[in-house]
Amino acid sequence: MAKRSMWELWELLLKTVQSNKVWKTIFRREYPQDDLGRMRVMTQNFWLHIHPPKVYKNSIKMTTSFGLGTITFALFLLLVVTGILLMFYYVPDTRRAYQDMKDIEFVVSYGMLLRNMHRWAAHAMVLLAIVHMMRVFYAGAYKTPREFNWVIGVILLVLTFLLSFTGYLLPWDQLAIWAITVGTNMGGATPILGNEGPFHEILGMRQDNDVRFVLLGGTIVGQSGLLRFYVLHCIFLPVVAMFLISIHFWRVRKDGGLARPLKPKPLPGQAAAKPVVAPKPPAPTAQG
Amino acid sequence: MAESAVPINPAPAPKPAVAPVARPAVAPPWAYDEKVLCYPNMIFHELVLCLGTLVVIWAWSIIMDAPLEEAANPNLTPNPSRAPWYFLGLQELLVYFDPWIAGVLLPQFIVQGLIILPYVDTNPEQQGYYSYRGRELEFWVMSSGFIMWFVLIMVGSTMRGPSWQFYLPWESWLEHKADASSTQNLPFSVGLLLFGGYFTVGMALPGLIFREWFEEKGIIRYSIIVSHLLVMLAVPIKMILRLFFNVKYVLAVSTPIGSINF
Repeated sequence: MAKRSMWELWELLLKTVQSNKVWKTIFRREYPQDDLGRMRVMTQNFWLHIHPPKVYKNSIKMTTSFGLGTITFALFLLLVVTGILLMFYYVPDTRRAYQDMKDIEFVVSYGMLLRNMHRWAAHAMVLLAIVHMMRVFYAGAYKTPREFNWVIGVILLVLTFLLSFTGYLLPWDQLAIWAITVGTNMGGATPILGNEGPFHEILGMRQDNDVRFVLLGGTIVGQSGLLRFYVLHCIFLPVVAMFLISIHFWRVRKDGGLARPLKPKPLPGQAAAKPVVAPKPPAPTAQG
Repeated sequence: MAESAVPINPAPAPKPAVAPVARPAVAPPWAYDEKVLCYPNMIFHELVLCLGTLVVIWAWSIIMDAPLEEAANPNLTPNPSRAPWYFLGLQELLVYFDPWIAGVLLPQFIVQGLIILPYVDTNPEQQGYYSYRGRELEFWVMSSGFIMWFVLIMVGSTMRGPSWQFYLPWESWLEHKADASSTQNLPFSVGLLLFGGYFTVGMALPGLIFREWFEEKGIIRYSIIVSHLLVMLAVPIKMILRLFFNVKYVLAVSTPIGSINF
């Protein structure tokens, strides 16, 4: 057998695998070799077809978006993955929830890392969602035709707060129960509907029938409250968030991609302009 | 070993050099309508951002452990009890307002105000790039909102000690701080005059001074904008009244169906 270089062997391996019938049933097309193929990837790949085949050069400039939305979504995905793993070890029962936390920290392999990642990613997602909104505001990217996507974004920000807030109770430690007590007491102050809000007498609101009672399933933060927050945190809110995130992304595309100036920047004389960088002719390629 | 190799993905043959197209002397250095292929340009950016996020969170988790205190005990209230950091701004407002304002009304106005923003700021110009001139009002309203939100969070998370008293970060919590000042309500007539005057004059005055702006916006957009601005401005005003003039409520109203205090 002739001596082959490592590279040739690698090529051979790739070719063998990629010409395999099973491979071809999974990947319908070969790795794109030309621009047409690269465009086809975008239109025909399930995961990528939310993007258009081509984007404005302005959109991938770092300072256009600082990637803040992408990072927020990446954090969301990270939270889904770590959250699902945590669900294997955690039971929302006041008698054992705290013990489960201790087990996650000291018994489960990589449990501490798992919990840390979920906690820090959650804080980061709240912060990033706020910063993302600030970026969109300062770039004027909420203006027509993107008004409604801004509205969805605001709702997603509120959902992010609620996701973080409901998760805050689950460790069932002093930090959790009292933070949620402070938070839900505010709900009890809702006008008319809360037992401590103004005009609560109109509907006869008491501690055991007002809006806070609905939220907690009781008059204090207890078993029913823990279960409600768990279900909201693990099922209801993530599903709603996922649904709205899909629409948010879809609208980014349908509203014409990332916002960009309505017209080219004014000519010199009207505003300060930077010197032109003329496109360079392609560099001569070294021939071996 | 690579010299003899034929690459599996040969680079496309270089395109013949074309004369640079004459374009107007503007920044950025690419044409306004220039597009690039999404794959691999944008997909690569997204991949890097996702991996970077993963690495940062992973490193953060290696370095720092998430807090876990003693098991929950409904009979032992920590002093102070803090809400999660992103709600500390609202908890901080509890010092100055009744809970129904700090915890319900103001959050509602914040969310509502954010939602209506694109519907009242209808000027389509100045989008897609960072700008200040021509949108000074929007810029300063939103910026002061962001600043207020983060300043209140900072105060709430680092400068509040037992009984939610004000402690500088280096002050010991062992030092007892009583509520030194006793706060008082304004007399009803004065309160009604101030409260009513603030909102009626406040609604009318900007329109009278900036006539053109009023006509450009129209009565509906104008009313929505100004009412939200008045509520927003009322927050620091009430804080000053409480901190420096010991005012508890500007207006306390008792009605047969209950009392309501502002």
